[in-house]
Amino acid sequence: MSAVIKFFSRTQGHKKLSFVDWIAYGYLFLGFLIIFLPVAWLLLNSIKSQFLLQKLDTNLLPLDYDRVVRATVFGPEGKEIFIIKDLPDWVIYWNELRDEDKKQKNDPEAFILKFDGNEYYALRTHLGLVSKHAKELIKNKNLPEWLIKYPSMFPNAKKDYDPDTYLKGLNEEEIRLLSEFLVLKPYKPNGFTSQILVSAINPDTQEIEEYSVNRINTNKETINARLISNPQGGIVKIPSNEIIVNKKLRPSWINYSDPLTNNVRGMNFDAIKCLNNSVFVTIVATIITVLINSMAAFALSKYRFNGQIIFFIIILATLMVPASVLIVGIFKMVSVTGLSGTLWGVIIPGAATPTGVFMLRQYMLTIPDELLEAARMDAASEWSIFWRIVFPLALPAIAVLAILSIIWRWNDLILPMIAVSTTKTAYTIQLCLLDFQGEYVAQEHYRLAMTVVSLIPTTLVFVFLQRYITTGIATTGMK
Amino acid sequence: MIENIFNINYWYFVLFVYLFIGFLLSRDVIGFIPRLMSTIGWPIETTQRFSGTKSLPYLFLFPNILIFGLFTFLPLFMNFGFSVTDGESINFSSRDYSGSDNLARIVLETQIDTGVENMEDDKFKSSIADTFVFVLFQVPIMIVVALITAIVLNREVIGRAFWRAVYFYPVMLSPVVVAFLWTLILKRQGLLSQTLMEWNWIDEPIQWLTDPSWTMFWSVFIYTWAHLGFYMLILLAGLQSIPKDLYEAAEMDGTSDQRVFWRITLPLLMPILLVVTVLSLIKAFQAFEELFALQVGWISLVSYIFETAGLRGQKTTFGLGIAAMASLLVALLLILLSLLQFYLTRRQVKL
Amino acid sequence: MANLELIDVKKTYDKLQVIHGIDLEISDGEFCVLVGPSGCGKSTLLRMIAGLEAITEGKIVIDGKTVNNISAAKRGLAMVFQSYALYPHMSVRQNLAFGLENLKMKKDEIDERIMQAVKLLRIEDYLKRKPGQLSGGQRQRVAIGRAIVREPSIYLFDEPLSNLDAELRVATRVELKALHERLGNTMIYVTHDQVEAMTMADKIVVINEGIVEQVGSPLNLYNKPANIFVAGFIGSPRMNFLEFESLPNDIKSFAPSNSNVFGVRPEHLYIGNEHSLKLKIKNVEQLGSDSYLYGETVSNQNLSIKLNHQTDIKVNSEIDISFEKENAHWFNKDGISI
Repeated sequence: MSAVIKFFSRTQGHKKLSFVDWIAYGYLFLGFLIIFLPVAWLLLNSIKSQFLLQKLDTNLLPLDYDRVVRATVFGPEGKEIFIIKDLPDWVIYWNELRDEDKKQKNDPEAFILKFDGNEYYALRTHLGLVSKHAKELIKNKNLPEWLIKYPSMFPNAKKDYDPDTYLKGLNEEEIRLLSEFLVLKPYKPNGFTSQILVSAINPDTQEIEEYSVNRINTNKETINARLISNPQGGIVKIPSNEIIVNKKLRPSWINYSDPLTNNVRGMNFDAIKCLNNSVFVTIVATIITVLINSMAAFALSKYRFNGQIIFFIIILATLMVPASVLIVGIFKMVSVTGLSGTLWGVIIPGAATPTGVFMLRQYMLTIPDELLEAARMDAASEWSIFWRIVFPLALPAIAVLAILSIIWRWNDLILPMIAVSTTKTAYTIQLCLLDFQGEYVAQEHYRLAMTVVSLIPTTLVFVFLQRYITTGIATTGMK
Repeated sequence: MIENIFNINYWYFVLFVYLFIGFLLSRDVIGFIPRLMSTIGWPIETTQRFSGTKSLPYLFLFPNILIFGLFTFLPLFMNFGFSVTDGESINFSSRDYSGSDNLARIVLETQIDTGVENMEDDKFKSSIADTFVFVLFQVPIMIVVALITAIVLNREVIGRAFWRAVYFYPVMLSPVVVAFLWTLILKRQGLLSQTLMEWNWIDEPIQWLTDPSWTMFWSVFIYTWAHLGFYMLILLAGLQSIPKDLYEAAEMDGTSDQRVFWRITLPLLMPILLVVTVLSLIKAFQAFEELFALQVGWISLVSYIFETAGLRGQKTTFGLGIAAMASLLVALLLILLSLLQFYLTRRQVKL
Repeated sequence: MANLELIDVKKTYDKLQVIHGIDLEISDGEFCVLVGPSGCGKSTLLRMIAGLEAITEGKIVIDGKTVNNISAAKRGLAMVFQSYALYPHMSVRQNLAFGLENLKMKKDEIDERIMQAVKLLRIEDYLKRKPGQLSGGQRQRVAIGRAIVREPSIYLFDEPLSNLDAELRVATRVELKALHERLGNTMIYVTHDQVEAMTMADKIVVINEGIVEQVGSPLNLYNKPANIFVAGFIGSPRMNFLEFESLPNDIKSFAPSNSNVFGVRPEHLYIGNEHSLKLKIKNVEQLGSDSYLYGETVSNQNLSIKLNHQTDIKVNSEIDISFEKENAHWFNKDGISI
């Protein structure tokens, strides 16, 4: 540790660190925290499970609680609430598993046979076996096919059918199965909620007992809890500062793998499509930008022609009116040119950049004209002088433009909003993330993960090509 | 109508024909890349073959100028068109000329159509007022912080490249990501409220982003957070271009650090500082994406234009016209600021 | 193999005339050097011949064909540039092949021509290198090689030696001359260095302020300069000029009528008193083999003398100098040789 302090307190002039130096390092470190913490918070949150996010967990690490399951089973006698303990993780996290994991690694059919009574019914619902068993039953007993579709019918369509008549010939278990499947009274879908397992002193018995709680909020003095040994006993309040909680590190990688394998159920969010669109837009737009900007810069720097200065001024003038104040007009032009709703509507309007033309022109001015004349003596056409001589020689500047273009395009929000905001299939990743906001609170874990994914390209560019960006900005003073 | 002629299939066809002609003309070119480039550039090569080099610069400029024309200059004229017409449609044939009505709608106190109190006028004026407040705080704060950071980084600090990268990193983040990062922290049940409640500083969670007394603070903070690195970098480049021997001479003279800053650093940095200030003014007046994605409790000028235009569904009768009128006013402001910037950077641009 | 004819060629940039009507004939196989002070228009003239600059007026004829409107690429000329203008991103081989590829030549033939050229110039070993990895002299060879592979009818050189150090310049001069002997092509060579012009040219064209002052063989120009400018420009050190009126009478006596200026080359002066000029020595330079004396005449005009031996003459001493009659040059009021 002292070596570290020594290292940091060493300056280049081998002087002792002065007071001002300490302030400077303090300032830098404070800035580092302010910049780094939100990003780190995003990263850490993106691997927290849906369960943790819903519990508004404020831990940095994805420390998942020991969970118990509170089950609600509906039956002829009414509903019964009880708690199932010691379930294996894969059962508790069943809804958060990937489809292939569900089938390959586990055997829910065999698992539920270990249980009976209401625990059996609750697990059967939770593990998604009700419809499977019901369908088998319908097949085996030669019951009518429409029964399979019955649960998904509209209410007024259901009136035309009477499933009750088919229940008569079945035994009690079969009636229960079919009723659960068809959602017939008195059966409702069984509830199955994960809760946090805590230990606390029972105010009645003064002994440490286990409770299940919905959420731990340390700001409140008491927490609503349900005694595990007597769940029917109702909710009791236990002091929040006396509970003992067990936590385990459990990153939830499915936040990433589900959207990226198109495995997200129940929502209109196609992350792969959005990412593909963004990649397409970024690559194609960068190629076009580099090509046409360098052509324009070539004309402006290597020829003398009438109106040269006027063209240059026109190009620089476009800096003055950014797309964000022209949205109505651009929207009109995008639809007039028929590009509306296509990725080309995102690519083309931003392909000509004044920054790029300016930067490349300044660079090309430094390429000696004698090289071009030599090429003319060598019988090269002007087009091949452009792409065989000037373009390769301007590569350092072109690389800067290409990198800037990649960042602009990947992060762009305004052009996608103008051009494709009514066409979901052409959404870029930024538009996807924005559209995701607010609409699907329950899918927050996916949104966080996809936000992190959207950071990857620009971060990679930043880490490996930072030099080019900083020189680009420092030389042109433009972003 | 024109709209039907230019559908996307038509463009694909034009592109195909263009490349096909190029493909045929470049038959005798050897090698993949030469043939590809020949296929792309055939109009320029053909023109040179038949009419010499006189018109070539215009051809090289053509694609760039075409796109600028279609998507910067024509939209500006379209905005004029929209701002003096009424209607929901974007087709001018089904819009009615309305003269200065749209201007009246956003600046007069009573509605010209019904005579009742003008809500649009309130929204526009408050967006102007709020944007000015935002700019008034954001620009000076950011310039000062950027300058301090640049000066600190210009010292002989260990790991300068690392610190510079850290401060620059937020510039690389998209506005949407910036907004999400901070929403995670500032939303009602976000990290900040939770933490402060745990420390018992506050009793109730605060909606930092929409609470009227906090929304402007966090807007300025987040916008500065996201853009600081860019201006810091320009200022740092400026500081590093100040000749070292000036400082050495000052040291020989026994000048105090403060005096060195006020008498050497600041005067020599002033041109760049001015440019940076104007540039950040221009950007701050356009502030939109971050604020929009953050859903802050006030409306910036560009957000106003975006929301009034109703491009994402909810169209209103006068929306397009009002948005176009408002954007003309904003464009005017930006043009004035840009001219100031050109004036300040004219030496850099040798024509 | 070609001859070149310029007929009343003029060039104007935005009202500023830089070439004032030049007529010139360069016959097949000649090594012609355009020489003149910098800014005289010689490079412009070369670039007009090359086709890199448009001609404002007049005609350029190559082999009987007017080429005014033919582009540089199609005139069949090759040029070696002052900065060599090698494509820095291409290897030597690619540099040599570039022009041939543009002419859509077959690969075998390109290879063959490159091999011939690199053998001739002894640059076989550098074919894979980039110009940045070569020395100045090697770059120069590659630049010449790039011209050779084109097998042009006329070679154009634009001050190709000015970027080389003195020693290399002398060596390359010799090589270029030998190359001309070998190839036998017409070559047009632009330089501001009269030594290069004298040593290499079959024909020297002296250009000043956009007009041709004199055309002729090197010795012709040296012995019979047409005017003061040529007399002063050709020959090193510069010819001495004295005002006719300030001369002693015995020298005036054998001058032709209308003489206004008397000129004599420093190397033609010697110490003696046949045609006596009194000189006060201001400076003496001893080079070992030669000695240069700088002095002032009685009428305060500068005069320099080149002696081809060492001397013990001291500064501030006064001496008598003399010259042979036939070495005297006489110019009239307009500076024309009499």
